[in-house]
Amino acid sequence: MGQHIVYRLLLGLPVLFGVILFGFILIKSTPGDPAMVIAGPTATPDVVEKIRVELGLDQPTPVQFARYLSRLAHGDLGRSMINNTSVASELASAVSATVELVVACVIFAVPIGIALGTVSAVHRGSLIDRLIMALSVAGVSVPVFFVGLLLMQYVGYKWQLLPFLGRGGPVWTVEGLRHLALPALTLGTTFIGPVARMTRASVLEVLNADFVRTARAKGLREHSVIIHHALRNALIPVVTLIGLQAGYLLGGAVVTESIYSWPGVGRLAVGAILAADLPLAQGALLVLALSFLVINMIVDLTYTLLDPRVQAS
Amino acid sequence: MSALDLNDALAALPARPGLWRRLPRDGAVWISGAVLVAIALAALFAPWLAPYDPYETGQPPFIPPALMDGGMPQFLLGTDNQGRDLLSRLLFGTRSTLTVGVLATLLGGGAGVVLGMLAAYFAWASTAIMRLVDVMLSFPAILFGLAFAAVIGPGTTAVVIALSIAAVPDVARVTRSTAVVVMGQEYMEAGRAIGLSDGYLITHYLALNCLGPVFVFLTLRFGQVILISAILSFLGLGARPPYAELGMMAAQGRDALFFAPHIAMIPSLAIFIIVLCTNLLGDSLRDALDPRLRNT
Repeated sequence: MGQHIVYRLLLGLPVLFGVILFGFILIKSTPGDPAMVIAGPTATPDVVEKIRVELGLDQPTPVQFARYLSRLAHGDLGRSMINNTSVASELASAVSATVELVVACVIFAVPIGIALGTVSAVHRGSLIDRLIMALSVAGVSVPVFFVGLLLMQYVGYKWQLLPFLGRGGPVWTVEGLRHLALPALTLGTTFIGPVARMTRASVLEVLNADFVRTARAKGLREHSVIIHHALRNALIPVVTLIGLQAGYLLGGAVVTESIYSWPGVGRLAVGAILAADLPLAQGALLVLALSFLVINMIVDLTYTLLDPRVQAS
Repeated sequence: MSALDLNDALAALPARPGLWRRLPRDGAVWISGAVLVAIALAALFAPWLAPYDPYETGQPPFIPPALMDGGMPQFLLGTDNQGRDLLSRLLFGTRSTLTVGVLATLLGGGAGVVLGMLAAYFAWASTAIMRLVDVMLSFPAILFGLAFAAVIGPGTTAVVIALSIAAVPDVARVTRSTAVVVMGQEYMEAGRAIGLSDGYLITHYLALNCLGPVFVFLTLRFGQVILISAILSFLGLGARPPYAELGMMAAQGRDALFFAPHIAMIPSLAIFIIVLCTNLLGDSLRDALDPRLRNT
C-alpha cells in the first residue's frame, strides 16, 4: 500500500515539471521586451536596464528557469501586464469563486443523477428507463452555453426570478445564494446525465450479484434491497467516476463563469488569454492544471484504498 | 467445385449476423444518421444553398425568423446584429464547425490509432506509450484549448491542434485494448510463422481487424470534439470574426440575447442537434458492433 502511494506520487513529478515548464515558456514567449513594457514608453534606457537586471532577463535561460522555480516556490506568480496587480492575489479570490460554483453544482447534480440512474436501472427496459437515458444523452450533448443562455433569457430576464450577473456576496447570505443559483444550475444540468449513466451501469451490475439475491431470498422488501444492498455497493465506483469527471466539470465551469461573469479562475484565464496578458494566463493555467493533477491523484489513491484489487494490476 | 457444392459449403458456414442486420431494430440509428447526412450535405453545398452572402451586412439587423412576429419571408431565420442573413451564416458556420471537428478527429484519431497499435504490437514500447497516454489523460480538452490559445494566440489553428492532441489518449487506449485481443489471434501467429514483416503484419493484419471498434469510438469522440470546439469558439478562443462558426455566432448573439434571442439560440440549437445525433449514432453503432465497448 505504502509503496503504491509513493509510486503514484513519483509518477506525478515529471508531469508537474512539464506543467511548470509550460508556464515558464508562456512567460518567455511574451512578445516584446517585458522590461520595456513595465518601464513604460517614457523610461530612459538605464531604467529599462535596471528593470531587466531586476527581472533576471540578462541571465541565460536555465538560470531564468531556476529563478522562476524559486519564485513559484515562494508563491510569486509575477504581475499582470494589464493592471500590474499581483497574479497570486488575483488568483486567490478567483479560486474561491470557482470552488464555490463547482461544489454547489455537485451538491445539486449528484443526488439527482444517482436517483435517476437507480430508478433507470431498477426499471430496466421500461419506458421510464428509456426516457431517463434519452435525457441523459441530451445532457451530454448540449453545449453548456446553450443551457446558460436559455436559463438567463427565461429565468433571469423574462421571469425575473434570479439574478444572472456576477457574484452576490458570501455564499451564506441570501443574495450570495441567489446569485449562485443560475450558474450552479447551468453547470449541474450538464452533469446530471453522466452521473445518471454511470449509476445505472453500476447498479445494473450489482443487481445480479449474489448478495442481492440473498437479500431478496431472506424476504427483505424490494426498496430495502435496492437502497441498502444494491445502491450502497454500486456507489463506490460511481464516487470514483465522479472524481474522474473533474475535468469535464472544470471545463464546463470555464464557460459558465464566462456567461454569468462569475469571477472564477476560468473566466480569469479566458480574459487573460484574450487580452494577451501572459503572466496572468500563466498563473491561471498553472492553477487549473495543478488542481487536475491533485484531484486525479486523490481519486486514484481513494480508489486504491476502497478496492484492493486495483493494486494487484 | 460446382455451383451447388459452393452453395452447400456457404450454407454450412456458421451464420454471423452482419452489422446491417443488427442495426434496423433500432430506430435511433436511422433517424440520427439521416439527420447527420442531411446536415453534412447542407454544409458541403453551403455556397450553393445559402440565399445570401454570409458576410454581407447591408440588410436590416435583428429581424426575427420568418414565422415569428416581425419576420420577413426573404430572411427565413432572420438576420443577426450586423444585418447578415442568419440562414446563410448557419450553413457556412456548420461547414466550418464540421471541418474543425473532422480535422481534429482524423489528426488526433490517426495519431491515437498508431500509438495504440504500436503499444499492443511492440512490448518494449507499451510502457512508455501508455505512460504518456496517462499523462495526457490527466488534462481535459478545454485546458489544452486554453493553453494553445495562450501560446499561439486564439484562432482555428489553436483549436484544431488542441482538440487533436486531446483526442489522442482516449483513442490510443481503445485501439490498444482492441489490438491486444487481435494480437492473441492465431492468424497473427500464422502470419509471423510464414515470415511476414512487422510492417506488413501491422498494416494488413492488425490494423484491418481493429478498424470496427475504433471507428465506432471515433464516431463517439467526434461529438465531443464538436462540442468542445464550439465551446472554445464561444469563449472567443477559436474562429475570428467575421468568419462564420457556430460557437462564435452564439457568442455574438449573446449581446442581443434579450431582444433578439434567435441570433444566439439558432446556432446553439444547431450544435446541440449535431452532437446529439452523433452521440445517438455512436451509441447504437457501439451496441450493434461491439457490446464489450459499452462501459468505456
